[in-house]
Amino acid sequence: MTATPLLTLDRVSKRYASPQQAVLSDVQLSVDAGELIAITGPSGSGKSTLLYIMCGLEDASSGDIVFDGITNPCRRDWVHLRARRIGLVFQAFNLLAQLTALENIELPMLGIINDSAERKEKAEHLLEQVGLSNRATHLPQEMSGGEQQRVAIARSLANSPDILLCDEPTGNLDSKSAAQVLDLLNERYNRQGMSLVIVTHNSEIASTCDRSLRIVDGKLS
Amino acid sequence: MSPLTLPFITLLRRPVRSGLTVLGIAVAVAGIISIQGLVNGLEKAWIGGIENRGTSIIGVRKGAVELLGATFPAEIIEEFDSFNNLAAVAGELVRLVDIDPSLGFESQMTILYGWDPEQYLWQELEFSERANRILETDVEFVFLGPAKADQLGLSVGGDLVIQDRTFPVAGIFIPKGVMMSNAIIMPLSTLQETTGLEGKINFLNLRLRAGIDEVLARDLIVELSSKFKDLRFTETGRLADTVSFFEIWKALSWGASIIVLGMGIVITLNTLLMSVTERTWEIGVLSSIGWGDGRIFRLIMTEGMIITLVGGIAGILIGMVGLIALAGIPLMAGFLSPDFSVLEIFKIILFILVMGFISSYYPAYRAIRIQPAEALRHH
Ligand SMILES: Nc1ncnc2c1ncn2[C@@H]1O[C@H](COP(=O)(O)OP(=O)(O)O)[C@@H](O)[C@H]1O
Ligand SMILES: [Mg+2]
Repeated sequence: MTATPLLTLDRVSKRYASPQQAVLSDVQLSVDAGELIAITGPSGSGKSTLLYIMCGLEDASSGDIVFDGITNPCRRDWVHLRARRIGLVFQAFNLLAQLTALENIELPMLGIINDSAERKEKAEHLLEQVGLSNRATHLPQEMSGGEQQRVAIARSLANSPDILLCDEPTGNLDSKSAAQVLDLLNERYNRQGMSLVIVTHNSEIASTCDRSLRIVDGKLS
Repeated sequence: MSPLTLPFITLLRRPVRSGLTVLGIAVAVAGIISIQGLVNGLEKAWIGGIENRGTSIIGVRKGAVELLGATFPAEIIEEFDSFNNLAAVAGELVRLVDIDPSLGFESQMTILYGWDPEQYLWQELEFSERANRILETDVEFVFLGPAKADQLGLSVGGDLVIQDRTFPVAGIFIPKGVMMSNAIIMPLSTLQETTGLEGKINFLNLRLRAGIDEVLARDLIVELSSKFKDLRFTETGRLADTVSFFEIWKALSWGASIIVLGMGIVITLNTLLMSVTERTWEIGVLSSIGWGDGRIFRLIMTEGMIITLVGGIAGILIGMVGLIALAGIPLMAGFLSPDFSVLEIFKIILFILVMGFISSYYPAYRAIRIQPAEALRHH
């Protein structure tokens, strides 16, 4: 792997105003380019918080974050990074209900790809890659959970990110859909050399990753 | 998908709410249009009517706000002979009367003109219908504008009762301008006597000799003003700017328009704020896929501008149709010629844009203050 990691967390802590006790304390983590990492931990242990800090949706209370040479990116930097270099996949899919599958995939490209025909073509291509070409004009509520998550994955890949952060991506899915989604993530991961961080409850998934980390009492180990 | 797709679809997803907001804005804008249109229409009907008579300068009592009540002696007309640039002078007594409602029609405010048969206003009258009987010796008669005749159901030979006196209708004149169509004309001396204003007039109509340009006209006004210290002279075209009645009327109309504008802003602001509040999660999602503050701000602004523009344009149309309808009802007929200049419409559109901008700004600002992580958790 490369000498400098893509993303480094150095003694990162997070505490909310209430309760005062730290959700994360002195977390040490580095993600290399192309690495596949699983993060497990009990519910409420701070897994989502950690992912949000890794993409700047939430600020750390202390510690340093370095993304590809940028130390502690500012709000603007994070917007830029989320737009072009970090993809996010959530347990609840987080598709916009009023937009079709295709439009949801196009959404992150607005302002990045200026040609609308090119946006559409790229979105169609992504939809095809997740095997849902026939769902292009469907709204999220017209699709199954597994299909929605595949659309969400296509959306997260819209601007070809370097790292994909997935927060319990199969948490809301039956085992068959879950398997499909995981296959898809694995395939994308293998093909594009992306880094992949998956928060999961599933120990089976965790065992197939390069590294499996666990959060207990705010400590990552 | 274009950048307008999301705001449009979002607005369409809540058709009742968006529709009601559009309606609210439309009503507000229609209100502004009607208020402005009424004022402009009144102004144009009045000034246009005077211009059509061939009167270039109007003389009134100095310092009068209520022009109809500010009378002055009619004999002053003789003193205008010395002004060579004047082709003709005509005195005029104008009164507003209520036609007797006992005749089976609703009480109607009517403009009554008293003109002197020796002067140009009277002499240039043209008639669509006129009594054969010579009436010049008899002074107790009236001429009706066609709209007034229609409304009263009177024609030549009929009788009109004004303040308990009966006046035979001696002619239906051809009106010069919408205001005159609804008017009644009678000999000056008759009106003076009927209203207890013997020897009085309240307007002087001055006609310039052919070939007198604006500069000479201004000089003449200065000259007239220094000779007749109690009177004020104004070029017909500038009447609206110098008559304080119109200035007050215009200021009131702008005041009312601004209140209505404020209501439009509150309606839009409320809708957008509600929309932003219930879409906290959605805004968190947009943040998570790399939408920055500027893009989110513009999204909410766009929604606000779409809603105000759609409402505004609907309002302009409703307002115009309403004004045309208003001009058609008897109470308004003759006081109003509804026409809209491009400039006025442009001003209203500017008004709408300002309204959209102001009312979208705060909700948009609130949208970018949303903490995305927080928003994403609360789903
Ligand atoms: N805004 C907040 N204020 C206070 N506590 C919070 C807030 N957000 C999350 N927490 C707490 O932080 C802990 C970690 O939450 P989270 O990262 O969502 O856990 P996980 O994803 O591992 O289930 C939980 O105990 C949660 O209650
Ligand atoms: Mg979580």
